[in-house]
Order: sequence, then C-alpha cells, then structure tokens
Amino acid sequence: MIRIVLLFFVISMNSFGQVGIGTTSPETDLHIAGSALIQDELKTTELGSTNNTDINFKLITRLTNSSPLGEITKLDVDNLSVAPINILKYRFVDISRDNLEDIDLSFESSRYLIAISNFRYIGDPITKQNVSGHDRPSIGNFITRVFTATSFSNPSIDTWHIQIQNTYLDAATESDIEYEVTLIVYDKSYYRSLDPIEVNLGGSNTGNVSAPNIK
Amino acid sequence: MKIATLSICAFVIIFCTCTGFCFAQVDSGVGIGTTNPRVKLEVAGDAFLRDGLDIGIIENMEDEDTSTFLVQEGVDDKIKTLDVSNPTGTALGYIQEYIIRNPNEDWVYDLDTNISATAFVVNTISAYYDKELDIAIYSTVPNFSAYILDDTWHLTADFPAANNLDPNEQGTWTITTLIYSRDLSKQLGVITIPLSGSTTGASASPIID
Repeated sequence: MIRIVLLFFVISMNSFGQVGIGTTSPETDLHIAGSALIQDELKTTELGSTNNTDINFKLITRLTNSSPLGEITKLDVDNLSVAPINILKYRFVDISRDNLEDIDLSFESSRYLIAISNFRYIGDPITKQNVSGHDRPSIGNFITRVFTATSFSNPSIDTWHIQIQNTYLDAATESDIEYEVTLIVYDKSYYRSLDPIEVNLGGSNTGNVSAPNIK
Repeated sequence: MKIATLSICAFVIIFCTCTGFCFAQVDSGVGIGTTNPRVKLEVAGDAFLRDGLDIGIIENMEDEDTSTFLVQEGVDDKIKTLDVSNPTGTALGYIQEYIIRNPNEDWVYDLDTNISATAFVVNTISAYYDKELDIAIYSTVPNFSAYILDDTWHLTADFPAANNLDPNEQGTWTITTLIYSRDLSKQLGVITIPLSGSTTGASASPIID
C-alpha cells in the first residue's frame, strides 16, 4: 500500500493571484486568517478618507503596554471611564453670599487639564459700594477660575480647584445665589499643557508675544 | 494493491528575490525576514500595503492601557504615532495660559499671540482680572475673546465702561486658551442671527450630517 502524505501549506494562492495565509480562499490581494505583526514601518498610499456620511468611526490607538508591543486598538469612549474630552456640568447651591472661595474638584492635575466653559450666575445681584473720597462706586472684581493646588483629602498630590466669587465685594447675607458651570476635563494623555506665557504691557492696551513652540 | 486518491488543496509558488533568509513557514504562520513568526504573518522589516487594509477583529482600548494615537503623515504617507508625552512632539491640542501684566488698567485691546491662523485655531476658555474696579452709572460684564487679524490670533479682554478703582494699581489678566491644529478642526464661519427685537429665535445648524 502506498500512503500519500498530504502537505497543507499555510500560504496559498488562488487563480486571481490573491494570496491567503491560513486560508485557502483569500478574499483580497493578501488575506491573513490571523494576526499580522510588522516590526518596522507601515506605509499605505491609497488609504481612503472618511467623509461627511461616515458617522460611526473610532480613533485608532497603538498600545504601549501590549505584548508584543504595539497592538492596534480602537478608542471607544463607551468602554473607557475617561475619554480624551469629558464634559461635566456643575451647579453650586446654598453658597455663603456669592463666595465660592475654593472647591477641590478632586481631579489630579498630573492626569487632567480643566477648562471652564459656560458660566451662569443665577440669583441676587451684588450692590455697588460707594468708596469714600472717590467719585465712582466700586463693583469689586468678579472672578471665575480653575487653578491647581494641594488636594484637601490627600496633601501629597495636587488637584484642580475652582473659585467663583466677587473678591472685593460681598452680596448681602440673605442673598440667594447659585452658579452653574460646565467644565471640560481633558485627559493629559492626548493634550499638553504648555508653559504660561507672561508679558508686561507697560500700561498699554496692545502688545505682542512670541508664539509657543507647537507644530 | 490499492491506489489512494490524492486531492491537492493548494499549491504555492514562491519567488525569493532577497538575499539571506527571507521567508519561513511554520505551522503557526509565515515569517518574512524571521524564522520564528509570533503571529500568522510577521514581517521583520517594513510593509507597504498600497490600497490600505481591513481589520476583522480590533480590540477596544481599556482604562489601564497606555497608548499613542496613529496618524498618517507626510509626503510618504507613513503611519506614525502621535506621542503626546514627548514634550517636543505634537498633541491633539494644547492649553496655553497668558499672564498679561500691567495693561491699560483693565483693558487689553489687542495682544498679538503670533500664532498662525492658517495652522491653528485658538479659543479663549476662561479669563480673570485681579484688581478692584469701579464704574459710573452703568453695569458691565467681562468680555474676553480670541480673534484673527493679519493671519495671526489676537487676544482681547476688558470690563467695558469699568476702570481700576485705584488707577495706580497695575493689574493682571490671566487668559487660558485652547489651541488646536487645523488638521483636527473646522472653522464653520460666522453665523449672524437677526432677532428683530425678539428674545427668542432659531438658527439652522451649519453642520450637514
């Protein structure tokens, strides 16, 4: 009896010249029924672009903690607890007069950047204050800002804090004032905080500074 | 004597034009430039897929993963990583704070940031002034904005109709801006909405879905 040994090749080609690896019926020019790993560079010149009607696309990321290094994954915000951009709406109620002096928002400043967007002042106004020896009343100075400072609950880290108040004048004791503010929380993995640019205008209302070094 | 029928499933013709060992095939897969492919196809070098690629299974990134973005860049159309942690590399966006000392009391009319308006978009996201102000009979609201003039972005900040209570005090405006590359954003133009004296109205969305 003659036994014929059949050799199954991992790689095969069909009559259209299409190559399959791990498949005997390739569906395109190169069809890999498995994963591919390219150690060096990948180039593709005829990559299609998304257009107006492509609505369900996800950003592509490359993992730096996979084994082997460089697994291609997709960023689905529904699968993450923190997205590149996160929107949070805050409403501060039951405030002492108009003074929201320092609220620790608890976002670590090493991981996030925060910006204020959409501010609403809801409630009683602050009365202008006459200043003795001065011909115009004071309106104080109303500040809305986020800033980094030591965390109230963990002094070893810095977190983002918020301040909303008139820093020179107070509303009447019985005032009912609420603040509504939208915060944009940026994940620092995707956005970079640049060094602040300082300039002294010398009393002028115009000036110019060098652009930051960004590409 | 029996003759077994033999059917051939596939055949392969391999042309090996590179020097050295260029192709290996093991049970687990094919290696190009490697004899030990870790996956179905491992290329120990560059690859050129002219018409792009479809990926059947692509996993989601998880919370604990660290990653970079992939972009296609340059005349050579290479796929590259966008590594934000590299302090001299690109990021999706930048936060830039401007500390403007001693303007004309509380008035910054025009600070030229010298940031190219063709390459970037600049938005002001918050601003505050630090000195006490006075005003006559009017009330006021803080006004701050970024605008384009002569192809660069400019900043303005002011409490209209108000001044420093003490004109000798030198105040500081702190303006936080967000800077995006034009590659990642679209300026959709100016939308003017005439309200004809009413307090409510509607506007069509400029975004065509």
